[in-house]
Amino acid sequence: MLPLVLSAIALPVGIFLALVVAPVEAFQGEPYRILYIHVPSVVTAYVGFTVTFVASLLYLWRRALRYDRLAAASAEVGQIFLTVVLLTGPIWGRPVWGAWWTWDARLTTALILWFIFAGYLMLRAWAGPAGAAAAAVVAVIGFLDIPLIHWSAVLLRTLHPRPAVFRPDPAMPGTMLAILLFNMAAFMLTYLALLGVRLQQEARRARLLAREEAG
Amino acid sequence: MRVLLAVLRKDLTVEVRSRELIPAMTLLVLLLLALGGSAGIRGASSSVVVWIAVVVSAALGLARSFGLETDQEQLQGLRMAPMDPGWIFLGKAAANFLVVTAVEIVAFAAAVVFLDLPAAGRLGPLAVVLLLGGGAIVSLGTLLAALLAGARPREAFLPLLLLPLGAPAVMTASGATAKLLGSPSEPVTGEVVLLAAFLLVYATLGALFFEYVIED
Repeated sequence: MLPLVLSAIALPVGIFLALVVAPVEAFQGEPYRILYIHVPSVVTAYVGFTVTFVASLLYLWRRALRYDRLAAASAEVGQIFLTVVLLTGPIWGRPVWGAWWTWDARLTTALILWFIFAGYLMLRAWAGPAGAAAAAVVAVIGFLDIPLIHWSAVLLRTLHPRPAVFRPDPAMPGTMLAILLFNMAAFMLTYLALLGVRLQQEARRARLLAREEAG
Repeated sequence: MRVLLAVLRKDLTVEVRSRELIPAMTLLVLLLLALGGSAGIRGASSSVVVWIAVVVSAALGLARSFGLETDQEQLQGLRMAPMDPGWIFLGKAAANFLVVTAVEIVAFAAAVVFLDLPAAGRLGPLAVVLLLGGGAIVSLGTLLAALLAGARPREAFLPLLLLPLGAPAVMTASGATAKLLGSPSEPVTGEVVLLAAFLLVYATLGALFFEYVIED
């Protein structure tokens, strides 16, 4: 419950900071503000898929259903954030690059990753509980595929802005960086909140099914 | 290793006697290339169409190769046999590899006719790219097909997993093919190393995970 309340407060505050308080960027002008949604979303999505990867390995190893539920819930929420990434990117790209889409390494990786987890979620929907092991294997291959997709796309060429935050000397003025970090925290909270809701629902569903089978 | 050869021989014998996979896969490849050609795709850059045709028909064939195993509960037999499941996987993958390679050869020959794919160029390196790319796709596809044979969605679902998960191999292989046939001097060392890495990663994952996949 707590993450839900906190994220309901933090998200609007973050949007306000991004739209009103943050200074305008010198080269890109106003469209740059989408970065405050785009970058936190991509970080959150990758965190979500990392959790799915680890939970899937744990499921294959231990065969405990709670790991399977964690993997599924985290993939669902991660996919939502990745969808936000793929929607906000083109909105920014059109005014700044002059194109909605380019086949740059990062874009290609994100798009193919989206297709992989779309397939993963669809497999889960089709196969039901019997497909848990199959889904776990797909999640593991899908996650390990990320660097492979990236390298194969790098063999082409790259246009995407380089990471500005996760390096020893962040290339960003203090206010912008603070607001970006605030938004990252807000998005992570939202991830935790949604993850918690899905986990609770699935645990209840499992209990109900168990009761039905027993009675 | 003996297990690998036994499974390979079994699968090839089945294919030689039933002739189920190669004709259907070849037909699909020719159909896809003819559609591409009639839509006006031409030259070295059409190599991506050839690769997509190969992967789609591989998905069809791989799914069927496990469909044959599940039809009469043979997967149970394979699972219960006192053999290392990793070697069974490699045997299945080797048989599928020979089938897909046969289809690849037909596909590229047909592309020379239908898509005006240049037949000259560096054919030695091209063979390496075909074998490595085909091997990577087949290793991944064999694992996914085994995984779907045990789950409810079965065969229809394979392309939906094989295409995105195999995307890096398809991208790299078609990029290298276009270079080898289109521009005589551009090096493809990077692509060849990457394809070899894909093959290694997917074959290892397959041998490791096969056991979990055919379990239930």
